[in-house]
Amino acid sequence: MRQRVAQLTAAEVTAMAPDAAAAAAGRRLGKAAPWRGLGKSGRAYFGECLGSALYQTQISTLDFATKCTCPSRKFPCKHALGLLYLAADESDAFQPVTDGGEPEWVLGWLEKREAAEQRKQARANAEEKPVDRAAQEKRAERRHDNVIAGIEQLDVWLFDRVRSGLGRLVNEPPSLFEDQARRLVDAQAPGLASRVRSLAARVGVGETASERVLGELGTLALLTHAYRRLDALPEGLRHDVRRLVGFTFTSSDVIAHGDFVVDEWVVASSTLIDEGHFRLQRSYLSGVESARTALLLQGAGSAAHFDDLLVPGTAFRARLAFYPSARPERALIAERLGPTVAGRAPPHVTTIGGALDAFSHALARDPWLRRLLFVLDARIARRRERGGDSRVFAIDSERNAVPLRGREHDVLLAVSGGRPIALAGQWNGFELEPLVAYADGRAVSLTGEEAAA
Amino acid sequence: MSELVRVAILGTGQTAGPIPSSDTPADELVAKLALDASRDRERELLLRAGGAFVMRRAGVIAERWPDAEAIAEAPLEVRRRASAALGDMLRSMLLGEFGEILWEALSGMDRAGLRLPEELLPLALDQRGLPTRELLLGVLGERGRFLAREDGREAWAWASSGALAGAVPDDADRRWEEGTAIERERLFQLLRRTDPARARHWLAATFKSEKPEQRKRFIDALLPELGSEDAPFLETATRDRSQSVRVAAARVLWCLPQSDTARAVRAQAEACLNRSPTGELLVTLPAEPFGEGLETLGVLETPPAGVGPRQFWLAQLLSALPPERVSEHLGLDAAQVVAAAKAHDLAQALLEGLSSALLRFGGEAWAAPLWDAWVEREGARSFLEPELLARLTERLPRDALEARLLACVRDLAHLEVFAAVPAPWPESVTHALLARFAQRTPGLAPLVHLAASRIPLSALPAELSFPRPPDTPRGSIDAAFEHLTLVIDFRRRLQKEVSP
Repeated sequence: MRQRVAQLTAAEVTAMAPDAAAAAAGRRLGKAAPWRGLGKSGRAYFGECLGSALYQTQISTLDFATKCTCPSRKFPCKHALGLLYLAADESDAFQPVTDGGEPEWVLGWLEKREAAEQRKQARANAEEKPVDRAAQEKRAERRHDNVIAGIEQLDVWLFDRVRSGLGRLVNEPPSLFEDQARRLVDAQAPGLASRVRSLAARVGVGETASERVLGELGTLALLTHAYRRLDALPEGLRHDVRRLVGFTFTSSDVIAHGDFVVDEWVVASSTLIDEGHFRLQRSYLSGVESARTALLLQGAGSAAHFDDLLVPGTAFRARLAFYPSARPERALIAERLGPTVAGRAPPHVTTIGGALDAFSHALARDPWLRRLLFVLDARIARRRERGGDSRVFAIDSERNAVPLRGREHDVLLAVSGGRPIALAGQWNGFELEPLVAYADGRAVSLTGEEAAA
Repeated sequence: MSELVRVAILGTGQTAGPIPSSDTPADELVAKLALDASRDRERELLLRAGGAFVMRRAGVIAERWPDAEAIAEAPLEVRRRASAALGDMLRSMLLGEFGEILWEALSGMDRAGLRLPEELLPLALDQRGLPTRELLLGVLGERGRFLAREDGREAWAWASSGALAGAVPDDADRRWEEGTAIERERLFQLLRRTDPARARHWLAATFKSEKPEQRKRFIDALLPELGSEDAPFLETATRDRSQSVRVAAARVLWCLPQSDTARAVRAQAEACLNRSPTGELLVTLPAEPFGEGLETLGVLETPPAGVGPRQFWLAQLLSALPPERVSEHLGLDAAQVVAAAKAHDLAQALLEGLSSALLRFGGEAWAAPLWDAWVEREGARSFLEPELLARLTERLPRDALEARLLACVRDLAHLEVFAAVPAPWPESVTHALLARFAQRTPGLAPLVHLAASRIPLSALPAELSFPRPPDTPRGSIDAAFEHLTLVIDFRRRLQKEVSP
């Protein structure tokens, strides 16, 4: 069983909302008036909300999973968010009941969840049983052969592109990339497939589009080359190449690898990528004592919750397990060791020069690195360009500057006001994508998601 | 563009010879692979390009921000930032949720010395409505004005001049010459209050180079602090090349009784209005065709669709006549004039003219009878004055308004007038409404919605609930009650947040 989550804060509830409108609607319902039968046990908060019908809404205190009988397609719905806000702000509004003393409709849900958790545990236990090593090796061999066949075919595709010329790419249909990506999925190399898909979006974009596309095709060729020479690579890089091709680690693989760091971790940024049927949360954590950066990825279906609430500007003590890598960054939470506290900022800020050096070193260890977290001590300013356009830059105390990705940075300019702030952003080698601004003891999300006050 | 990229764009199939260098050490690494130069041209090109791409990304150095290019800093804030909870509520309101009580939040913040959180400033600066902008000016803080100024976009210019809310700045002359349209307008209003003559001289110096719409707005801005010394400038403006400017100038002159324009237009208006020995109104419509003289006096020729031209001219002429002059001219008091106007065949035009005159010149005794007259004309719209009923409501003495609203609630009649009554509604009216609501009278749902944002919180019980009687199906009134309780709760939380 996972550890029971500490008391929720309103900022964390806002972070769980699928969008600002849902958060606002949830706020409206985050008080006792529209509810009846409000109750809480050690396992759940529950209540009935009178909307266009009577909706039964419940929250598990184990992980703040929610369920509501309303027909909303948003998840969590406004009723669930309202009940969460109420639990965060006015926990006294709930009538206490003993575990097991919840209404029937709550009991039924809790029992189902418990059964599901038990099935999960059973599956996990089953995984721990001795495996058929011969069968496993045979499967691995078969997959390796599939991947090799896939990258040979990919190489042919890459060579065709440069033989016929990149200048023709703008006239090619999107299926050119999509068909190749599908072939790589069939070859059990989903990582390569994803890289091919992302190439399609680069074609014809920006003044240096051809150079960027050529660079991306080139790094893809480096990757297929590296995979063929997997055995000659150092262990960490070997893991990275396998991961980039599409091999995954299970949580138990990561735990077994044993690269643990216990620290107080500040959530520097948290970005949600919503693909409709699937949502991915990318969160960067900064270690206070270790000065390590950890990247946590959490996936969930459109109607499911993330296992861990990670809100920028909050911190918690935890033992993180890092994935094996030449540049260990991706991690998972092996164990939470303390409650979440708000009002924190990333502990280690740097100059632009320092951050670019770090990026160079990171690339030396992982040439396929796409982006790196920068936490800069910088001011934000706009520069007018010819033709009336303007670009926004982060400028450090040494007057070094890096351009920010995109054109819309009104919130960032407002938060900075021309004064130094701590800016967490992702550097892709060309531009910095601002994620969270820290000023006056507050974290302000720049990607549309809420941050803790 | 490097030779390597050029070959890649053209295609290796179209170019002969060895693969060009990437001009990076990546070439040496690729050379160690001992590729077959004839068979592996594409592979060699891609590996060189890939290696070079990695090296170039690793070698990126920061741009140097020019020493000469200053980074402007926002002045330090004087006001406190709104709390996170209030910030959440403000975001909802700025996005339209509970938008009807945004004014209440902003006024409360202004009184409490609060300002908007920085992250809401772009949203606030995007607001369009003039009343909302006026309220926002008080709570944008230094950061909001800084952002509007630094950004420079026209749509935000209204906020950059917020600093002009106090005294006339030292560099007022420069700002008047170089500022944005909105900044200049605010500066003009400010100077007009403290030094009307200097403001007029400013305007006279630039008037010809202003756009017509701007000329009209500056003419209208002369109304506060209007004095006889403004008359020569305004008389000149009545000969402006733009009709809207000519008319605006003439109408401002209506307010200077000694001006030639005012004298002439009042004489024409009085000629249209007389009384029979029995007390009936004798109305003479202005003669056709429309004379040029009328336009010089500030009367527009072309009526809106559905309105007769002569009635339109009549209404405009009457709107130039101060109400007390009407009383003197006819020998009737306000109530008698309005009663006679209501009974006349040309009631609409007469009431239009009298009402517009009241808004222009004032006249407390006229507000109540005119308000009653318009309410009785259920649904009649003014063709002369936008939002007429709401503006008449503002002129009603508080006790007169209260009595009328109580009568509306008691008789369940003319409830639509509540839409014109600004917040806060009188406490006695609130109590009467709550009692009516509890009776679940059919047709009240729109009024319940309206009441949510306009009844004063101080008049409400701590617990507000409207239980549905047993066996009563849920109706639109129940949805309205839910809205009411939600909005009231929201307003209460708001009030708590803006309490000093």
